[in-house]
Amino acid sequence: MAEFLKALGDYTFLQNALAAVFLSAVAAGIVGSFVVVRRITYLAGGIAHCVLGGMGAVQYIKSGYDIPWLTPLHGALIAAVLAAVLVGAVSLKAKEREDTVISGLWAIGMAGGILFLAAAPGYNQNLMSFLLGNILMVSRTDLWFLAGLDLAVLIIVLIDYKQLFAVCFDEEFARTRGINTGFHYLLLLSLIAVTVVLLVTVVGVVMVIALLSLPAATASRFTKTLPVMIIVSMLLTATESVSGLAISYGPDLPAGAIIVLLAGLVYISVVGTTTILKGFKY
Amino acid sequence: MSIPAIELKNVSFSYGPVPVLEEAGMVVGKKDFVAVVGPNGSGKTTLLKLILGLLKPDKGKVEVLGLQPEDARPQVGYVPQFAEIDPNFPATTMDVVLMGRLGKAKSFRPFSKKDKRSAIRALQRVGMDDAAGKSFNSMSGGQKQRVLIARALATEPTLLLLDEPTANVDTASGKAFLKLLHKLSGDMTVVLVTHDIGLVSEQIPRCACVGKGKILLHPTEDLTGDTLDDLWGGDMRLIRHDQSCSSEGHKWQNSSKH
Repeated sequence: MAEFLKALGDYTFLQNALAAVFLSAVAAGIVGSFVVVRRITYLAGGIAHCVLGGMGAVQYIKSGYDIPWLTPLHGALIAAVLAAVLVGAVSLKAKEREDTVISGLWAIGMAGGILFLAAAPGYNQNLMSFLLGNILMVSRTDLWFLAGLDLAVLIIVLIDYKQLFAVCFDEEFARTRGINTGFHYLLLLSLIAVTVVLLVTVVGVVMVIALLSLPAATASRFTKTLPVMIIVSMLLTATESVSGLAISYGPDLPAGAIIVLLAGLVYISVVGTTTILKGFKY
Repeated sequence: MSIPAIELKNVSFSYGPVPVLEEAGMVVGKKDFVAVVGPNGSGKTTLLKLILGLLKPDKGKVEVLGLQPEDARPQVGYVPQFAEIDPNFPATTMDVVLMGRLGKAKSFRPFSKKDKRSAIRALQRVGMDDAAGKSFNSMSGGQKQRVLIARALATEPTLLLLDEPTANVDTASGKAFLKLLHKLSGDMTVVLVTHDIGLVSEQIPRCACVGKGKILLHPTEDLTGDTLDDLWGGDMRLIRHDQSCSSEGHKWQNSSKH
């Protein structure tokens, strides 16, 4: 830990990584809580995996054309939003089974990304970096992009909290109150898409779903209101991510994997403890 | 002549090839207290959803308070079955009741003091005002149902629609609940869907029997074994328990053919 703290003062890339962790924790805490209470973690997983297609496409374009401002995160955002709108439209309008469509998108997004990356130089390095995350490579430009996404999530949820809460709690009742539930469902999926992009930088495509569900699910075990669940979930995501970063720094382990393992351990411990405590109570 | 609370004219509705209502009609007056009864799958909940405008009829016309169902929604309070709500959702009683203010409160701002006062008043009407800060999850079935009624009352409705409000509560809570609805029916039209005919025969003056695509609206006391035969499509018998035999009063019982 001392080594990590010293390096934090010395190296900009670690400071950037820490900033990315905090930025992603804000969106993950907010949107993850909605994902958990609305029970759409599988859907969020589908959106997360589609992101590889967008990242791979941008990497491929960059290999042929010199577009300095274009980064894989832009591709991730476009792919995530497209996937969210597609899944939302299928869920609301089409007669197709939702889980089948999500599974299809999940696999097609991954396959497309792998093909694009295979056609671009640095295949293995890029693939592993996108799949497992590479938080130490976050640039200052990336941070501004992430901060913008974070701000968008925060403002939308603050403005639309009442409606999102109602749609998640009781969609049918919300409709009877004149809420456009279809629009708000699509809005929620778009928020998930944006948050996925924020988390991809920290833990990679494969493990995004862990940070989008585990801290919020842990928080839900001991919180009684959604705002408190959101705040606890944010704090948990930040703490687990910073701890994972610190633990992985010394032995040079993949930070994303350590962060997810920590989140999993905390979740299992809290579920175990609360279950035992309930057992004693009754 | 005053505008009825609910009017269905020759309404037909089907789920794909399966007809649920066929040229059905019904008129419910203002401040009526009506129970919608019928066998499972007869179309009770479908009828409720047509009144709410959540479903559209294939044919015919539904009018609520003289308006299209969608336009009448601000004046309609709806109480769904609480079993359909996630029991682990983190929300207080107040959070739930405030949802009834949606549509009345300003869209992109937090709930105002006026909304909160209205929610408290609604909780007082159902005798749950001391539970405003309590977790919705920790409540009993009967309490949850009262909170959902308070949520509907927070909309300041002139028509209250309830879907199986006594389905997941014990008999005592069910009776107390019906008393509450009886009281509310002095101020608004109350229509509840129920499968509990025993409950209907005791406390609700009118019933709408739904079955075989039709709706028959009549005083509850006119409900006969023949009516039920016709609706359920089986051999039904009315068994009238006297007070000494059953504290629950009159009951309907299905007698199977042997």
